[in-house]
Amino acid sequence: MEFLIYLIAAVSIGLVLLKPTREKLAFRLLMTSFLMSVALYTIGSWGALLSYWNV
Amino acid sequence: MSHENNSVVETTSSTLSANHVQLPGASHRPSKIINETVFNWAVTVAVFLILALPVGIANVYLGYVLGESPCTSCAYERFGMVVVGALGLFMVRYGPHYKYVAALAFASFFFLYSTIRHWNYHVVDDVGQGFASEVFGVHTYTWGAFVFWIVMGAVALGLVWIGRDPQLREDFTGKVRTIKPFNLFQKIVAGICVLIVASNAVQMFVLNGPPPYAGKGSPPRTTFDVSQSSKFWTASLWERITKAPKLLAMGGAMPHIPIIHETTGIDFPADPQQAPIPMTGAPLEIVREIPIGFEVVGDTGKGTAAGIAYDPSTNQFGLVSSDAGMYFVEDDFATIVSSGIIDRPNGSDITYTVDATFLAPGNLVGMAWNKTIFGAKQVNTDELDEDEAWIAFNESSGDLMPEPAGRALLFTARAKHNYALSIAGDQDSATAYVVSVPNEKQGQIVISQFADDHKLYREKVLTASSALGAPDDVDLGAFYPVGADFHDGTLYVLSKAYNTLMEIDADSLELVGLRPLPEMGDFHDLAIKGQSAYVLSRDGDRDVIYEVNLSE
Repeated sequence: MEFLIYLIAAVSIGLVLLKPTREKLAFRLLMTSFLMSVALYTIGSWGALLSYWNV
Repeated sequence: MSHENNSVVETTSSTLSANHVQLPGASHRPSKIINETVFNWAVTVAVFLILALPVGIANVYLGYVLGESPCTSCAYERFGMVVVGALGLFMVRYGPHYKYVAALAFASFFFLYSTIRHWNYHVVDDVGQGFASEVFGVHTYTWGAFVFWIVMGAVALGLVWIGRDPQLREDFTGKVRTIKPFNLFQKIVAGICVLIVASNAVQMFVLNGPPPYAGKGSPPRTTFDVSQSSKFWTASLWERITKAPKLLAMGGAMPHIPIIHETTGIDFPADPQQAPIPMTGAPLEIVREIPIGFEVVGDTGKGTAAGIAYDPSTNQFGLVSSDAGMYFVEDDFATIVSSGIIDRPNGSDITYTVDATFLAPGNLVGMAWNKTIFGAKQVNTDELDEDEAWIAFNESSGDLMPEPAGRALLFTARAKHNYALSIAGDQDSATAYVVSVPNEKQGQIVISQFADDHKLYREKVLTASSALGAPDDVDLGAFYPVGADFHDGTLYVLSKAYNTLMEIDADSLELVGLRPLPEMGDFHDLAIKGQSAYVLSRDGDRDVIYEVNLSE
C-alpha cells in the first residue's frame, strides 16, 4: 500500500512540474494519497491510537 | 506579477452591516522581503531541504547504501514530509491558495501526532537506544517530530507573509488563479522531488510489495532481490480492522481496590481447594476482630484504611489511608502516636494509596497503585525541618519528616503493564518487595525487589517451588495479590482469588506454601507480628482488622 501512496504522490508532483494546467487533478491525487496514508496509519495504529506509554 | 502600491481597504462601507464599525485599512508599502518573489524562493528552499535531506537521505543513503528499511511508522512519517514538500511546490506553482495552506496545516497536525506517537515507543529507552540508525546524532522518528513542529510554525509565519503582500493575498483567496512559470532553480527542485518520491515508491515496492500488502514494524533489509524480499510481504494490516480500536496499548485493567474500584469484571473464585496448586497447610483461623478506633482519612478528610504495616524496631503499627493519610499507632489500633496527611496533589500521582510498609525504623511508607511511594519518618524535634515538612504534609503531628524526600517511582522491568497492590519492606537488607497484579496484558505475577535508592535490585516472575509438586505449566497468574508483608525470610502475600495466603521464599522468590484464609470480607493487606497476621479488610461499610494465628 505504501508503494501506491508514494506512486500517486510522485505522479502529482510530476503533473505540477510537467503539466501545470492539470492543477485540479494533481491536487486531488496528492490529497488522495494523503488521505490514504491517514487511513492506513490509523488502521496500523488501531491497537494504540494514542501514545503507547500511559504517561 | 502585480502589486498594489496604494493602501488596501479591507472592507468597504457598503458591505458593512449597521452594527459593524470599520477599522482603518491596513497600509502596506512594498517590501524587499515580504513579497511574492522572496516567498517563492523561501518556499522552494524549504521544499528542497525537506525532500532532499530527511526524505532523500533516508531513501538513498540509509535505504540503498546501508540497506536500512523504514518500518511502517517511518514510512508514513516520511510520506508526511513528501506531502508537505509537494504542497510547497503547489504554492510556488499556483500561489499560496488557502486550500494548500489548509492541507499543509492538517498534514503537519496529523504527522506531528504520528511522529510523537512513534517517538513515545522509545521515550523510556536508555541513552542511545532506539530504532535503526541515527541521522546527525538523532533517530529518524525524532527528526520527524522536529520537522513537523517546525512546519507548523512555518505555516503561521507564512500566513503572516501572505497577509502582508497583495499578490499573495489574492492567490490565497483564489480570486486570481494563475500558473506561475518555474525558474531554473524551481525546475531543478521539482525534478529532484519527483525523482526522490518515485524512488521511495520503488523502495516501498521491493520492501512491502504491491497492494494489498503493507508495511511491517520490523522490516528486513532493503534489497532489489524481489524473490527474496517478497517472502516477507504481508497483508496482516487489514486484520486489525476486525478488532475494536484502543486508545492506549499501555497497561491492563485497573485492579480491584476496595471502595475505589470494585468493578473489575473478575469473578474471584473463593474456594481455596479450586486453586491451581493444592493447599500446603491447615486453614488459618481468626483469633480476634479488632475495630480501628479512628477514621483513617487522608487528603481533604476523605479515604478509608488502605494499608497496614508493623515496625518491629519501634513496636508500632502503621496505617495508611487511600487518600494518603499516614498514622503511626499502638497495637490497640486506637491510639495515634504520630500522624500526617500528605499533600497529595502536589507531586507524582498518588491518587490511590493501596499498601503500607516500614522501610526503616520509624519510616512508614505508602505505595500508590502505580508503584509510586511516599513516606513519613518519625524524628526528634532537633531533626525537624518545618519548611520541608510543610511542603510534604498538609497536616502533621509535628514529629514527621518526609522520607523518601519527595516521592519515588518504582520502575519495574517485567511489570510495566501491571499495577501493584502490595509492598513489603525488609529492614535488614534495606530493600522492598513489590508484587504485581496480573492482568490481560501481562498475566504473570512479578516480584520486584528495590534497593534503598528505590532502583530495581532484582526481579523475577513468580514460580512454584518443585517441592509443591505442581506441573511446570501451572498458572500462578490465577492468584490475585492484594497485600503483602515480609517476615523472617518469607514474603506473605494475600490472594483475593482462592482466599489464600501465599508464602514465598524471599531468596528464591518461589512459592513455597499456600494456606486457606477464613472469611474476612474484602481483605486487602496484612502485617506480620510474631506468629500473628493482622489482616486489614473492608467488611461491609467499615474498616476492620482480623488477627490470624499463623502458627497452627
